[in-house]
Amino acid sequence: MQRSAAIEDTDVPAVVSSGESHSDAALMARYRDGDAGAFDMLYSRHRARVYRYLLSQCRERALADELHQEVWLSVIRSRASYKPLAAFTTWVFALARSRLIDHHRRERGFLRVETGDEPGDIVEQLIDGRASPAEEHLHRKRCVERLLRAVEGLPPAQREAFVLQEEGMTLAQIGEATQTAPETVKSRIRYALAKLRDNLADCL
Amino acid sequence: MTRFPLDPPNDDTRDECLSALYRRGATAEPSAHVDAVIRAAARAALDEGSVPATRRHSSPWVSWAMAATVFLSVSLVWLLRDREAGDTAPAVAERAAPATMLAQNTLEAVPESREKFTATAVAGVTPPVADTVGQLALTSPPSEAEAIPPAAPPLAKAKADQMPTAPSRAEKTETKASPSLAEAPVAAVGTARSLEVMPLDPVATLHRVSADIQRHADIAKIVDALYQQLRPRARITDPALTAALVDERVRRYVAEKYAPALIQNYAQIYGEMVATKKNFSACEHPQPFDETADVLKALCVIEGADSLRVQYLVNGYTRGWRTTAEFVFSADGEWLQAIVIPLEEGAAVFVEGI
Repeated sequence: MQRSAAIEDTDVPAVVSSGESHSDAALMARYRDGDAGAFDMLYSRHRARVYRYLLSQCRERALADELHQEVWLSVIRSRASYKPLAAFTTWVFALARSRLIDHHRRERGFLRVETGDEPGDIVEQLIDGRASPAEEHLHRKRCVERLLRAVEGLPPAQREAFVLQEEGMTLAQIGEATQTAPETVKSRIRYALAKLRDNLADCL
Repeated sequence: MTRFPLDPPNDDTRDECLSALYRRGATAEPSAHVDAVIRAAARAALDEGSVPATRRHSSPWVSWAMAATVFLSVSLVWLLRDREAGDTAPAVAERAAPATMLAQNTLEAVPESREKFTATAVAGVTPPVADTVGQLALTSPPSEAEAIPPAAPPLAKAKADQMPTAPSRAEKTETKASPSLAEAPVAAVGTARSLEVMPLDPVATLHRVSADIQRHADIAKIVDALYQQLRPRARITDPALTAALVDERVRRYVAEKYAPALIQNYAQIYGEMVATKKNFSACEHPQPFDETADVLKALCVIEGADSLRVQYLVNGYTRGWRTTAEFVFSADGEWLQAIVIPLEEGAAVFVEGI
């Protein structure tokens, strides 16, 4: 069934099946009109992916927490002016990206190409201690760690495109959120995948 | 999850094996405390009972007022255009205010806080500043990605007086500049011959001038113009340096690094775009020669009434497409009229009379 709304729902199956009243745009409208529960739903739906995107880009948990709060406070402040011209995910990731850029400008003037940082920390944070310690899963866990390290090692633009796609965004949405042509996004993802496959050949 | 060698992925932008690994690993979430703070803020915002902005703007009077404003603006523009079209040659003299005056106004608008001399605006070149300029406190180039054009100093009156008076077509060129360069002065110097020459094919002209850009660019004049504007921006940190030594080092830096790089990068991007068969007319959607680079670069051509403008565009990681420099050629593609380097505040460094 084709979705009639201009707003694309997230890829959360339960939400998609629950109809337009629970679409992101509808939830924002309900929140604007005073329904705090609508914001809770919206937040629950997107909190993890936004957070992971921020963490993957800034690589520091405390900073990701701070930026995450800033992003959602922007959403709260913008509830009245929000217009569903694009998917909510596109908008919220664009907000997140904007906060990252602001941060890096404050820090160094420009978003840096990371060198010399310690990827181990971020891997631990991303894994968050949830991988199974069972021996039979040890190899898989190591592959996961290696993947996350390999993602860390990608050039920033490729890493961003890869993570956003893995967090459920389409190429068009990524392009819109990052102000990049979809073809460019596609190329970045292809290059990212090629590098990751090279690094993880024995895991795939 | 094992992939067989002859089992290609269905979508070359997806790899299910990698995705599965990522999903398994990327499980970090915001803390409960952060969640609580955000949810509380959402509720507090509702409790404040502020009137949503969309409702404030939903008044029919506001809509009518906006519509009336647009209508009046459009009408005014048309009236002015008609009036201007009625003007003929005599008006040229009246309008022949020196482009330098405009340049002066524009450049004087540059805040004093922008006193740092930014070393290079040219992508692809990171000259060894210390070797070249010694103790001058030059801001090192931020990166190839986000190279910033050099800050423009207020134009000294003496310099302004030296500048040639631009014919009216320079003014016309300026009014037709792209919005981002609307305030950037584009000075034209030369004969009236280009007034009569209309470009038949901008892209063909672009190829003609770009294939041998070195021949069309007078490096000595570029160096001189850049030096005049960059010299006041040099901040001297070593009091032992004499003014003469600073002059000499800045000039050497501009001559050896900046100006050549400006032309060389143009030539390089042009060559790469030709080699990769990119479209030079796609200014709305520039076509970088390497779409996977962190910094995308492209040239695009805009046909003017009596000039050909080639924009040198970069798309760094953070800002989207920006014009780093604009090369203005005569319509017949015979000579380079100007180089305009827009600054963030809307002012520009400009090199004229090339």
